[in-house]
Amino acid sequence: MNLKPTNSETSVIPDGPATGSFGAAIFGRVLALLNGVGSIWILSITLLIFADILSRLVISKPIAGVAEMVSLSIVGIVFLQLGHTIKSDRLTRADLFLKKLSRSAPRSANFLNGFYYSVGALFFLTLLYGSFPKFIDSWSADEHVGVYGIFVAPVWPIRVIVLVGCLSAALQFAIYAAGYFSRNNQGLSGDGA
Amino acid sequence: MSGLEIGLVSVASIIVLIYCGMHVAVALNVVSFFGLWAFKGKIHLSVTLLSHAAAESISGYIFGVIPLFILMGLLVSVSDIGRDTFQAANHFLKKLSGGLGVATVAANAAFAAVTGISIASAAVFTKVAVPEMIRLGYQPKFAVGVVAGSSVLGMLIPPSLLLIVYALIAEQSVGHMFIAGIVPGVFLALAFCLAIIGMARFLPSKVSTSVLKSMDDDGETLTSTQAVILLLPLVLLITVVLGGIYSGLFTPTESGAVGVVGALVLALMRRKLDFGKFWQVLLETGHITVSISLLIISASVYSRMLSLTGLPGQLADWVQHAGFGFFTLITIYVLIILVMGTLIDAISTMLIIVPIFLPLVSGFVDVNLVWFGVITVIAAEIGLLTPPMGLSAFVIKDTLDDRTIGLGDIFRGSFPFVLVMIGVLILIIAFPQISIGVL
Repeated sequence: MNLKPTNSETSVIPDGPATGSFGAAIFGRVLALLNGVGSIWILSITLLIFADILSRLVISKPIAGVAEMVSLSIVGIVFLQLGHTIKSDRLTRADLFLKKLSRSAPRSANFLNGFYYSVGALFFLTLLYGSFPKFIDSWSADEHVGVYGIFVAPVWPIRVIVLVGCLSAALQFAIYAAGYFSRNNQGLSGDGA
Repeated sequence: MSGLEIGLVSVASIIVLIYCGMHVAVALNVVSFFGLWAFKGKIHLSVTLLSHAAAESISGYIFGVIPLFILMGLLVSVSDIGRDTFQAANHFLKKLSGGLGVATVAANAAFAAVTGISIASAAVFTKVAVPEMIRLGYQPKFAVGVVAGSSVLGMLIPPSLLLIVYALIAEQSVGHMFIAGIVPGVFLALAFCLAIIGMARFLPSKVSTSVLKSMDDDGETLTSTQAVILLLPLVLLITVVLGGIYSGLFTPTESGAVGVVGALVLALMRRKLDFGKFWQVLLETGHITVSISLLIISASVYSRMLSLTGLPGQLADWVQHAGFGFFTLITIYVLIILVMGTLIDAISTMLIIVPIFLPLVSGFVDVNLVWFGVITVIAAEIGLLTPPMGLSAFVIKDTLDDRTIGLGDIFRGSFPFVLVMIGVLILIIAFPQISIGVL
């Protein structure tokens, strides 16, 4: 059911940061919590859409604002679950080359992985920086979706979730990057370390 | 550098970075970021492009289909419907030569109509069909080949994640993509069955180790009525989900929600779902949803960058100038996808190549972009079966308990099915009506 192979024997991902600290453990809990909220959110919009269909078919009265809620929800769900997805190493990547490299040259593989995760961290920091004005705009302009008098929902909470998601993604990428780099510093090889 | 050069360098860098293991979404975004920066000379334009894509490109009612169809597929997978379907298919097909292989394909095709991920099909049928085939005297290589080959049906027969992703990046209707995938999917399944029967008849040494035991010697107790009852839940679910879209009663998003509720009821009635398992399924749904959505965000950044550099437009001019015929263009397109498919996964291949070729083919009159999508999906799916990067083969290897079957066996075993797919692809290119005749 995975989008990518998950063979624990050949995984190129460390079990956690080699600098495993109390802070990292707390952060892991936060990610799991955000992820759980996202999961419940998925279930909720499913039931909302289903209720809308029933209401439409049975009493010919659709629920107002379902389309708007679904639109906003997808963004919210994705950014809530982003950090945990990265932590679980579930972002799509082709790890064939890295697997080969970690067998023949584990230090290079660690370095390359550290580099990739660092780039990922920088990317999400950039996205965080770029998304901040969007939050300010939606907050100060009191941006809404929907039609007044029937259904309206504010947009700013979603913008906050985007910021939280970018921050958590950047942190998790940085933690993994540090983990890979520190492996090389400790003179550990990639496999079985 | 000119826009054209920046565009070409970007595409090449993305392919190299993805092959070398950078996260696909990060590679697409970062290269697009630098590409646009180099082209416009203003970094803030790149930042705006990124943040705009993140906020807007997955914000829409239609994007609800992503989590919904993933959740439905996973629920169906945990409720053991795959096993039942295989048993029932087996009951009706055991008299055929190579019957167990044909049953695997048939069950996979039916299963594919309620799940959208090839990987799910590959995992389920590796557990269900491979041990059974080996026990009854089939060649292990043939058994894994059949499962690998037929697993691609999961991504072709709707609901299919690849059809969804194509629809979203090419701005086509998800409902139309689904409907256009039905006949090619069934057609491919039938072609697989014919190939299996043919191999069993003319190359029996490739198929079985000795004499095939038939299921009759095996004390199989299933009656036809029981077999039909086993199939009933699946048929109901398919009817509601695809029938709902086809008849226009539901939007694709609604049909996904109905499918989830149906699959949930089914899993609960069969007592296959406790709270822990359900939570696992929800978490898995979230992870896949994030991964796919992030790819779609990245694809929108990348295609925006590409069109700003003018690469697709200049290529289109060049193609017009060179006087390429449409079929030459399609042939080149399919060949590029096949080559890329050996190196990177199917979704990434589509994300990279579709934005380049869409403007090119749109330049020809009478091109149906839904049909073009079906071609794209089938070509990209061949990559699931070709080494070195063949995702279906990897999943089968990971799911298999039998250590004596290597990755090479799986690739060799699925090779005949690659040939069948190429044959079917050529037919659908030559006769678009196979795909879009029902629209």
